[in-house]
Amino acid sequence: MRGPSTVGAVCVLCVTVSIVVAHLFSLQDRGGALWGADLWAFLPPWSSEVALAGVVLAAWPVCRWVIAEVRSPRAEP
Amino acid sequence: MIPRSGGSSAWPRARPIVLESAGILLAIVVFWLARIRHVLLGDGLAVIERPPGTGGIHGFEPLTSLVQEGAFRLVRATAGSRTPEWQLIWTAVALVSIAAGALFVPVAWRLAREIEATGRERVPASDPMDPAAARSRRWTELLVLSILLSQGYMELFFGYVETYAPVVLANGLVLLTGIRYARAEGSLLAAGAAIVLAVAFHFSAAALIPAWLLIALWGMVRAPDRARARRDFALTLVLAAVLAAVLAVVRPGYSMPRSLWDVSLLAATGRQENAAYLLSWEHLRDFVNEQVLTGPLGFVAFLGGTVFAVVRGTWRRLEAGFAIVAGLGCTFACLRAGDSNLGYARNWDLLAPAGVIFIGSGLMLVRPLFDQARIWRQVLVLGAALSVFHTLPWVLVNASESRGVQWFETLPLGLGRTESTIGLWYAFRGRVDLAEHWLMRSLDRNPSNTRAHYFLGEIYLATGRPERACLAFGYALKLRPEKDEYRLELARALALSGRWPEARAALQPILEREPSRAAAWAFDGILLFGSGQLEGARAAIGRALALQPGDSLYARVLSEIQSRASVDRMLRDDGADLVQR
Repeated sequence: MRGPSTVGAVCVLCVTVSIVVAHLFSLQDRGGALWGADLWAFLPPWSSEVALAGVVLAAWPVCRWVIAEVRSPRAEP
Repeated sequence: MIPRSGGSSAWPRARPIVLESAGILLAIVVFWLARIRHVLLGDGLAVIERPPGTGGIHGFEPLTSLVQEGAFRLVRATAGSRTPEWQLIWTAVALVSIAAGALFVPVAWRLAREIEATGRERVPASDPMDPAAARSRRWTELLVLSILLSQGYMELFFGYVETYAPVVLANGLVLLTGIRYARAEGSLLAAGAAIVLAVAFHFSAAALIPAWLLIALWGMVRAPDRARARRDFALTLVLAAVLAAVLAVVRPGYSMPRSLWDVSLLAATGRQENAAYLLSWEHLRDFVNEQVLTGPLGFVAFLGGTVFAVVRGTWRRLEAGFAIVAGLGCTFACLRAGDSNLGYARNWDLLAPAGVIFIGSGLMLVRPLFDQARIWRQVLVLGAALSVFHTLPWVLVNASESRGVQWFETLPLGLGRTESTIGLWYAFRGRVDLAEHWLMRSLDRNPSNTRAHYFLGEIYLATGRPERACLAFGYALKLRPEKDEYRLELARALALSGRWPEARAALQPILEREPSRAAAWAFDGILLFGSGQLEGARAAIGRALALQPGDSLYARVLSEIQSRASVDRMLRDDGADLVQR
């Protein structure tokens, strides 16, 4: 069954990846280009790693669900 | 002990009150413990320089300035006399921020329930008496609540020194009451009172007026109880008129409708904005950063939810239409906002109150996308984790002065504004050496930074270098000849350097342009006294006293002149006070 829920979940995952990537990139670049997302760069590295692990854990069930949805056969119209 | 069960027990009715009270108390503790330890952002430095209410009501945020003024009086009355004034102001403004945050918690809770109610219409109806279903729904509501409470705009509640915390609270109320009315569950008057309150707290909430008008028009034309809607509409107008009248009485000469009209016109035409900046990549970068910082989920949720509502046609439902128009109003305001005199990143708080509209509307519009309760909960868990991942460091960085300054150093404000703000911060903290260093760096970046010139002049005056202060104030005045503050300080610096005729010449344009300005005459009196013209000095102070009879400062200056006090001391103490008037 692939429908709006799958599209929504994929969009949520894309937003998650974008925000996490922006945060990770900002750890390397403190030039101010990512001033809305570079806060972890000013805290101990372990803290961002712990927080990131939390996001990965929270993302896993959504990923698993999306994969299952994509693999499942389309429902007959 | 409160019983947890029992059909006739008072617990079911008391439970929400107990839980909300606990939530409010917990929020107060968290906001206070993790409060922001600097005032670099927004106009924080300017806010703590003068007590709230000095110079009249704030034109664009009348109610907030009155609330802050009341809080300041309360804090001053309860604090010891030894506490510096800036600390009292900081504490008072921080307490208003925290109080608004504490009240936001129950509003967010109710909003979370409304958002979750959107889903209940699509999810197969479960038995309302089924405890498992009720528990599941409560968990989902808690997840929505956790997202609402973990967006970047929450920083405004952490003792943030500015004027935006009350309007975040009021924006939440506007959204809540608007959605409830659109669902025929609340009254138009409640929604009207919320919008009046929000606009009175800060005019930026005017972006929500079209959304309120939408539901008001619907109510008066299409609602089953149109008579009630018309009455509520009229009562809202009366409420707004009463508030405007009260403000005009409290602050004579202030007209809220006129100020609102002026600022709306200014925002709509964008006359004060730099068109080149608005169309630049820098603006796009700043806009995205702003939405991430005040979110991170709000704007993307609103955008995605709106697209979904348009594709599926659900935008025709009144609550969806209300949410979309509210969000679009805020989007327009955010897109129109330019660089300002502070620099976009430092001015992040101006647009932050829109964050609650974006996330509230966004979650409501997105909700029907997920027709399975389980995947919706999983998405909410991810959203909450992502929001905490983003907002936690934002709060932690600001809860530390040194980290906050480090972060601020990286902001791309341009025009030497980052450096001048840090310089001013260090000056305020008494680190004159660092302040001078950063202000000089600011001028290296931008020799036309008048603020840097001005505050360097202040530092030179404070550290006994009046000749250098003359140069600094002279540059500042050359760049901004309309600023009387610069002119008065230049006159003071010239006088402290012993250049009396030049000092009087610097002051002259103010006396000619504004002969009713008592402080300028009192200042002239000090200058005349310093240049040995005792009679002229008495006459000038006499004129100031005639303009403002009984003023204690002018009376003191007169008695000091008569007792031949030290003119240097008068220039340093009384002169500094006169410049502030």
